[in-house]
Amino acid sequence: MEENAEVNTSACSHPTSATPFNSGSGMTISDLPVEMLAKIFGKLDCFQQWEARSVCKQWEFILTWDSSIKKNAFYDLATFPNLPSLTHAESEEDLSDTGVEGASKPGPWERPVAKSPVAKFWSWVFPNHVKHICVIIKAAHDNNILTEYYPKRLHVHTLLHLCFDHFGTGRSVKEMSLMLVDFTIPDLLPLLCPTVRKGDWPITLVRCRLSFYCWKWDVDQPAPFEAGDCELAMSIEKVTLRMGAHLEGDLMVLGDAVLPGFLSIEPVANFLQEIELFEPHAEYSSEEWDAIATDILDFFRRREPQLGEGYSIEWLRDNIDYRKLRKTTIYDLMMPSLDVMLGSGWIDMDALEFGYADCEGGDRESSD
Amino acid sequence: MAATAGPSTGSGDVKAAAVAPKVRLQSGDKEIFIVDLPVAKMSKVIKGMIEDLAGEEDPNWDTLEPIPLSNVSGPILRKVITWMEHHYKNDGPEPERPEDDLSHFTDEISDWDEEYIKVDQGTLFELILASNYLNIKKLRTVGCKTVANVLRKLSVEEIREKYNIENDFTPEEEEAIRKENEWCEDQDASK
Repeated sequence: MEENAEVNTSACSHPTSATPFNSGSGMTISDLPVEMLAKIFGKLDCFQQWEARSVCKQWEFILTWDSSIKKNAFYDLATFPNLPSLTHAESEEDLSDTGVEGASKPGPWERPVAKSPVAKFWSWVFPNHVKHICVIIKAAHDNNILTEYYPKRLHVHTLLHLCFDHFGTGRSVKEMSLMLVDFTIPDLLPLLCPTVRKGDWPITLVRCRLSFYCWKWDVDQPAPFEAGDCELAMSIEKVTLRMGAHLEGDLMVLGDAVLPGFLSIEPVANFLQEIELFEPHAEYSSEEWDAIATDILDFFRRREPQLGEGYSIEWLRDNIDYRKLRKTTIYDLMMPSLDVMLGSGWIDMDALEFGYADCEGGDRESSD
Repeated sequence: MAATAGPSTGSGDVKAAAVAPKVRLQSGDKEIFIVDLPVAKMSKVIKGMIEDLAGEEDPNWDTLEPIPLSNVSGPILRKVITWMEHHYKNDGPEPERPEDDLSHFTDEISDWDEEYIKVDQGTLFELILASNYLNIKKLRTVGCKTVANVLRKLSVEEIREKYNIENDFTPEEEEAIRKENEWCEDQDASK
């Protein structure tokens, strides 16, 4: 090989043997393309990503919407190294000692699902680790040590966010929602602050709920609602209401998307009855109640003409302790349909971008 | 200029059993680097270019045109080659990972890489870009992890200051962000 002044042979064998390297380019992080920023952010855990959103608009955009970030955030949470050591709860036996009911009992969501490699990845990560982390968060919270290390608010937010993201990634809506309702959210409820319970709404939970409804109510391929779905939806709503949260235009989905699937008004009555457990303060006069009950019956008769036949105001009165109902809840059930909401901008469709298509066909390797 | 070093020729080194052909790499500023072929192939971009240039026949490596890497400057390319040589010698070609192997998703950086990456900020970002351009995933990951390790130690304000990033949120937007976080403040703090 010819050698001349231009030609360099291979470089030094160890970095420490070289003098400090300085290209003098003056390049900064802002000069990196978005793709590279996303890869860097992907190395942060979800909590750090959350904080980094506040740096500038570009970072916020990348961290909010890049699907690879969501995947990485998911992974970071699922493999979060410090929390297990906080509680020493690394085995199932340990988890069962945290006092969280069912902590070590496998649920239907833990069954393996044969899907694409990415879906398998999610199937592996989500059920075991989110559950694991929920338990640990709860235990850490109970021991009052969580905030010394990481703000629990970020755990809660991230978990909800990940629940939302995971809808549709290789497992049925029902399974995922069962996990959301039966395990995740109830465990997180004690961690939520009073302002949340009073109605300062965590938007991610809204998305969780809307994703469930919209999943079943896909505009192009509507899936039939089944009795189980309705029960599930009611469970979600109950959890929602237990938190005392209310977002105008959100509960409205329930009325149109789910209730027609009941084919019986009893579940509705039961649902309303259960709501009272969480909102025992409102009281209505008899006149107010009659007006409400009339509206309820009219509502169902309009939607499912066969439903209203056997039911009367008296029936409702006998079956629901109306004095404990929240007026807003009742009327929420009778609000306009989803397409009206979408058309009116009540629901931000961008916020409902689940990303499940990415997960099904994507490749985690591509995001490093 | 000293002769090329290349991978170890230790007796136990299978990779060095035969004298590897060498290729010439040309940086954006026309600097030429002579690199062992297997080392150069750690870059998937270079590997592809070599295959294109060489064709199907076994080429005469001495007369092969230098491979142009116009997006990488000489100093950065030298630094990248250092990395490739070390890792080829010590790790071999980057293995194909099974789909369920997630071991490379860690925060850890090897001691050697940690020393290697102790460079000024501009160089670090250039290395990230170069590794991305050359498609050397492990080097890119080292770079990204290094930046991430810095970021995670800094507050938002400190990040802005260190990287000279303008806070382009309006006061209203900042307030919205603050409110978005407020819901999940600790119970004690909200009382």
